[in-house]
Amino acid sequence: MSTMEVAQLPILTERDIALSRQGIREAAVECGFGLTDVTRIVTAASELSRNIFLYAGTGLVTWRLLSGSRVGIEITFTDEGPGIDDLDKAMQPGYTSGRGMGMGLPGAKRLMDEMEVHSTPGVGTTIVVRKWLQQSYA
Amino acid sequence: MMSSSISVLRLGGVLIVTVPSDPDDDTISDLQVRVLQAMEGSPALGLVLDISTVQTVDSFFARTITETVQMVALMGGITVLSGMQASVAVTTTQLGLTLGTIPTALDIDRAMVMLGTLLDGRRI
Amino acid sequence: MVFRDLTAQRRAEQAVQEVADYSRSLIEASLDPLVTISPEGAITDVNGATEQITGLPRETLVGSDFSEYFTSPAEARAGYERVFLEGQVVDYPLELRHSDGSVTPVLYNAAVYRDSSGEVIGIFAAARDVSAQRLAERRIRQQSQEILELSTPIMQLWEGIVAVPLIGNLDSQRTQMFMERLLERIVETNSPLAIVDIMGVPTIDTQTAQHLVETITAVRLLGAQVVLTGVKPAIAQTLVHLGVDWSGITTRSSLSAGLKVALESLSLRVVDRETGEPRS
Repeated sequence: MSTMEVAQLPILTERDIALSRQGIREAAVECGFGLTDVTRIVTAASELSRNIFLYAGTGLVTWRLLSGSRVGIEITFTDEGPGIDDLDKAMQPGYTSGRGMGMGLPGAKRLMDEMEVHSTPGVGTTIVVRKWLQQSYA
Repeated sequence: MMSSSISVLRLGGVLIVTVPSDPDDDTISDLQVRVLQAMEGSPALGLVLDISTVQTVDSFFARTITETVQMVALMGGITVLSGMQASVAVTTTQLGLTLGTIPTALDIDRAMVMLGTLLDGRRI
Repeated sequence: MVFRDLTAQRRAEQAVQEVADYSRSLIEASLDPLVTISPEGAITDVNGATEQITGLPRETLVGSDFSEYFTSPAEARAGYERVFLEGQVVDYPLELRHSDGSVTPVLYNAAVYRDSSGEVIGIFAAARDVSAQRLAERRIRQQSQEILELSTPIMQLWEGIVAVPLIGNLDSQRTQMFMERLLERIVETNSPLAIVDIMGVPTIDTQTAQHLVETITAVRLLGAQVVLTGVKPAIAQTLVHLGVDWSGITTRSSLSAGLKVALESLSLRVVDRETGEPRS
């Protein structure tokens, strides 16, 4: 898919979770999403950035606007953390692996249009989420 | 964002805290600390947490708020959450974040009225 | 000395030339941009319509990478590969970029073409300009949106009370849109009470019922309350089968009954002007 610009933010400290929210909010607004969708995107991003911080300690968040026959936003979360052992279990709503509310994966999936999870225990995890603009207005 | 200082207002027996628009984790944790500090001075009967400028509520925010409400309750106070934005309400619900049974109000004024009613109810 | 009859040869050459000219004139007459692409991905031939839609002359186009002229070169290349794999591609959506920056949405029909021995020489592709269709589609979507909004008017009945009669079958999308609008209205009008009347809704599926539950939950988060009215038996069945706890939600049989309970919760009552007696 053709892209317009790519931005990235390393997650190194807890503060970076809020920074990723800001950057992604700007991108989502620029992409043309309405307030409710912007809120969905930013909240999903916050949860997934937080997962990096909680489970891997450090990682990277990358986002880009997608253009072409459809317009949207794509955000990628990568870390070299412990990985997800049981992906099916992790996708159960309400599942928590012990820390906090663990709304991460199922919640984020609900708020976005697409989600891909690639995880190898002991190696790391990559999660890609996308949301497409509903072109209701001219 | 820079950790902005949370200001806690005291109006009669009620504490009013206005949460900034995109608080980072430190700020949210700080809020809990400030509320507890204020309760330590002289225990308040009620707490109004105004989130009318808050743009994002994620699981950390929800958990910290819920904890704070429980702490205040243990110290004998009632909390009302006021002014949630429409887009936040939609997202929070779809994310499945329950804020438990925290009473909610459309704005601070209504929150104060609600606190009055709830506190009256308690006296009975 | 051997005299070869050149007339026949010339006539044969002329005939071949006429056929070639005829074919060429057909290609040039086509309103659809036509293009041939080599197996390496280079443009080998174009017609006038292609020059027009790209705003570039033949000389520039021939020999260049065909995917450069699309807003999404990767998608164009993917389509190209599909033609080689499957022999053809039909109605493949892409966007062509004009040299002036403007973009034309197109649908591509392409097929491989071979020489007399059956070897694939390249791809022959025809584009169909669909900008008119896209505009019409956009207008239809806009109108559907407007119809949606008209059919779920959120009215302020009184200070602090909004009401919305939902009519017709609710699908997931419509219910979601309605949820967002209701929440916004509640905040805008500062109304702690929202009467949602579903008397005009014959049936709902599980997903829509779930959205309805979400709406009620979200309204509560705002600091307001939903009074649900006009629930038909079929819907009552679906809602209970969902396993949701409905005990905390106020319901009434009709919108007017809902209005009464809403007024009561605001400590308001309708009384007779003359006698001062309450009217039920």
